[in-house]
Amino acid sequence: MELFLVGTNLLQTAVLAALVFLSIRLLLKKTGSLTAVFVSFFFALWFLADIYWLVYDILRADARMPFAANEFAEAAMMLTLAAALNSAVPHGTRAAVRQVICGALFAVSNVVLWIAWSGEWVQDVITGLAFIWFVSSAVCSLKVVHALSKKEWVLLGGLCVLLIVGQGLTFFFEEPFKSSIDTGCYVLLSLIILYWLVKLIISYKRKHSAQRLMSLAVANTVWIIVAIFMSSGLIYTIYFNIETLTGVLVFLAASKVVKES
Amino acid sequence: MIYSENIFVCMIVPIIVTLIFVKGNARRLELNFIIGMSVCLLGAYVSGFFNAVSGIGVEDTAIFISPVVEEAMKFLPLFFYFYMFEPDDDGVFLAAVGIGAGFASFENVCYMVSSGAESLSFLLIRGLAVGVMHIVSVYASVFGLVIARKLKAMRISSVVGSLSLSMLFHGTYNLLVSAPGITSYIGFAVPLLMAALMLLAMRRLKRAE
Repeated sequence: MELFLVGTNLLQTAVLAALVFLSIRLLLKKTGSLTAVFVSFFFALWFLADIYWLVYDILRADARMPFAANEFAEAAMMLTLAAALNSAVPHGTRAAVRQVICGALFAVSNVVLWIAWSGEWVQDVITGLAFIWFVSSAVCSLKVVHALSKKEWVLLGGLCVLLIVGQGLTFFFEEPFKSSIDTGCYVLLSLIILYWLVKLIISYKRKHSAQRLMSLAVANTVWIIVAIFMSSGLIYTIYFNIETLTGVLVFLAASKVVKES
Repeated sequence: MIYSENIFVCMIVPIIVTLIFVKGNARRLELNFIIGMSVCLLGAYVSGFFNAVSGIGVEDTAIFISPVVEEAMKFLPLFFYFYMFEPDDDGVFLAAVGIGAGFASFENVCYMVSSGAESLSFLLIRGLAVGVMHIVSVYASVFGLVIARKLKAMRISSVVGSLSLSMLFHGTYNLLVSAPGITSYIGFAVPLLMAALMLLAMRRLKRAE
């Protein structure tokens, strides 16, 4: 399993190396594009954080890491991707007040769960602050580009509440109920990942606007981060591989934004 | 135990005296060298605090937490200079090199006092690797800031991203050299390789201007 994880990490690092190269090429072609700047920054950080994690996995996988460079990099990655999205889909602060409040509440609930699981509150608070901003930006842009219908917003909100409640309940129940709730949460997480991926691919096929694609790609990234932080073992490895695919989709959306700008 | 404050005083006094005799860039470089040594000392206090609070041990603190603390300590005076005085690119890079060299020199001296200076070959490797690593890491963060300013992309995310670049570089170096054998040799070689790459990038940046 450990070897498999290292292999998966190596694959992601190789894909990210290619994405760093491509995003820098995109930046050199269109030097005036802020989206290209921030996306290049995002991929460079992700690539370096992956190398750090790879070395950690190989040399010191058992060592406790209360706060390290990769945690700070995760926060930086979320901020740079949020900046890339905000430059691609400009919006005012009052563009989607209700959705942003709900998104921020969902992000805060996630941060509380991370702290409860790991006990490493310093790293979780620092990453969490960036995550709240990241989720708010993603939600706001989804609203601005009208990527979701009213029904979809309500459904997504309901599923988010269900997921948080489900994960919260695992603290109060013993086995075998705990495993059943966990399984239910995995099903929910996977279904929502699938939903975002299908929506994004349909959007590509229908040649929707670059802004809409970028919003959906970033929303997909938000969800994959939620899923990765909530999973372990084999499921974690599967989500980790989907995260690699998400990186490619973010690049494709960003390059479309840059080319159309 | 070493008396790092005493070493610090002994090292900075002659440099402070020479500040009277030099002018221009030489003075600026010396001043930044002193700042680099000062933030190294402060960084050691902060890392010591985190070591006591986290309880993960001296070795793991040095590997995981020190890169974050040290890079943040080097970055803060540089960012203050960059943001408040808006110097030209050469001015920022000069400050970065001064701070990096000051930091690495003071750290090397403290290391020699605590671990001994018998093996010249090991000290040469350490001097080359750590010395170059501190300069390259601070250079990387400044490079991020300069690029962001050039492309009119100065945001909180650019600042945090620039700092994060240097932390990741420093953190990976510390992880690599923490294990004996081939990984430590790779670790020692990485700063030199990165220095060469940064020089190439700088040349390209200059040519683009």
